[in-house]
Amino acid sequence: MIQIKNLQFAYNSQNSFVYPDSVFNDNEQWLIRGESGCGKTTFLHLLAGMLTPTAGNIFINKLDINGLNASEIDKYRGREIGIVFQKHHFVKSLNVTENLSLSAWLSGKQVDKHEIKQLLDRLNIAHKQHAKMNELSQGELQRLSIARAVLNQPSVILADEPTSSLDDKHCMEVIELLRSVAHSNQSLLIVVSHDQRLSSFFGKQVQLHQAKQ
Amino acid sequence: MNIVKLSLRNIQAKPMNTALNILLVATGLFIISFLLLLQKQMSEQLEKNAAGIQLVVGAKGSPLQLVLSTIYHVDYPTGNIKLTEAEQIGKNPLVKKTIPMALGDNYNGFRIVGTTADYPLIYKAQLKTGKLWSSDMEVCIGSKVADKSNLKIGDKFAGVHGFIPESNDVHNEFQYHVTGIYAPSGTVLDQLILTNISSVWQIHHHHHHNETTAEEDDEHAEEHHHDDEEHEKEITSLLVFYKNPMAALQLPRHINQETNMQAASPAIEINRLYSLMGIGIQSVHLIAYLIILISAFSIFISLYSSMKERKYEIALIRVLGGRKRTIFSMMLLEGLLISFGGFVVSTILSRGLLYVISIYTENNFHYGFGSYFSLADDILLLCISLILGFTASIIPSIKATHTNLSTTLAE
Repeated sequence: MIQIKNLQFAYNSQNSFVYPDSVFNDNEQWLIRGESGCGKTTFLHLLAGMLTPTAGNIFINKLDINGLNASEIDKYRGREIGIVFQKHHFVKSLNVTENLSLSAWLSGKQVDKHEIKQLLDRLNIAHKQHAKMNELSQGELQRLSIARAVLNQPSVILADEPTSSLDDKHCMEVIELLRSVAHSNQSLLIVVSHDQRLSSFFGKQVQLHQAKQ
Repeated sequence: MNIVKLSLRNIQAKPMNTALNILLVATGLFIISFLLLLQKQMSEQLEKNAAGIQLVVGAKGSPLQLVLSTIYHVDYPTGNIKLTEAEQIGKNPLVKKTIPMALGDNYNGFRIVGTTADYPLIYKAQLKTGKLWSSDMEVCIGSKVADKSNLKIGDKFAGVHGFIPESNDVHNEFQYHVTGIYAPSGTVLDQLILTNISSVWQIHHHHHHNETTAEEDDEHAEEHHHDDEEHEKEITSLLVFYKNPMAALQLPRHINQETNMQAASPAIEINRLYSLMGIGIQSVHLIAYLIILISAFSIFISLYSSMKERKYEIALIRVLGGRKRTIFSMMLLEGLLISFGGFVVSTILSRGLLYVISIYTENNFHYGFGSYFSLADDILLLCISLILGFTASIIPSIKATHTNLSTTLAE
């Protein structure tokens, strides 16, 4: 469960993002909507502990993550949060399986190759398990991003504009996949997107507004 | 997955870059490693073969040449000295012991040395089979001579005049008879054929006589007879052992000033040889350290640019749960792995070159290198390589830990 209280963030003294108080419960699936520049990605980075709020608090499973030091946040993020980035960031020198193994190793969780294979099977990219990153298509990279986000069975899955560059067919496939794996993992799913096509997939939504000048 | 595997994969991802850096480190370390091994081998050989010999007396000429030809058997003798004069040195109260040496012939490139039974004793040599020579034309041979020439007890062979194995001037009239074979001693003795001095005199008396009778008239026969007498009384050099330290101050000066002979101290001459070589060795060392410095810069630049190229990956590792120390260790390990790779390559190359040189010196001078390893030197070079890797990668490693996760991943 994530609870937001009086959350604010400012990159400089002129622009300040103010986020509505919210509670995101376990197993729920949320869509955070808003136009470009309204602080959606910033919100997601705040939830992931990658940014420190200017004001307010974020409680994840009743733990105020602002009270943790950098090392504790890194550790906590690795264990409890899975992230799907807008761009596909992977370690290029590693292959598909190794990238997933890296994620498991960094989070400190024990995941064997059999589990990785099963997950890749489920996402229909098992045939690419030994492929390098430059041998994967955009769709395969997207699936791999999702696989990595759910591999450690985190309590929270955050996705940043996961469908922005996809056509309708692939948009639907990806979002259904994300919802499905989050549901089967019993993880809280929070998707931030300006993509109007996603509105119909999520019953719970938060609308963000432009930053205060 | 672990940190070593991750760092290895990262440096493997840029094979050309990594290979260039490893090669640079290896080149610098290789030169140092090779020079250290060569110096060690040389000093071992020089010390072992000096065997406590305190002075060498021979014909006037280069003192270094006298030492090299008499003790190490790698140069031509400076000439001969009269036995009567040499014997006078032995009677000097400052002298404890002398050993005469008569050179002039070889067999398959192995020098035949006329001497006394004291000579093998200074190398603590022991006969593996057979017995010591007891009469003229009997020889005891070193272990290398036995191996390379396939000589056994009871075999006979003829020596070749001079020190060139291919010479046609074979003393066929005189056959040496092998009576003993020495066990390997790791000294110059392994490559020598030892006999008594009168055997050498006998052969050279005959050789000299043949030459002169062919060239000159009978009217000079009487004069030649006297010459022959003198030749019989010559030796090549004399090894001298002092009775007390005072001898080191007085005896060389006395011989050099009062006689027609020269006295050379092996310790002084070897030091002179070292100092002559020292300038060259120091220059090469300097070049090696310069290359190592360049390689450190190369690793630094490589890691620094790699850190910038991989900023997304570095941020990603943090986001996935990696701590700052994980990033620091990963980058540091990359530098250390490259420098360790350089150490391994340099170790293999230096041993390889030393092996090739050993074959060359073995074939040409019958000197091979005993050991290709020096634990202390290897540890020193390993430390140099690791310090180099650490120094080159410390700044990129620290800088990598300061990567801004949000800004980087949002780009």
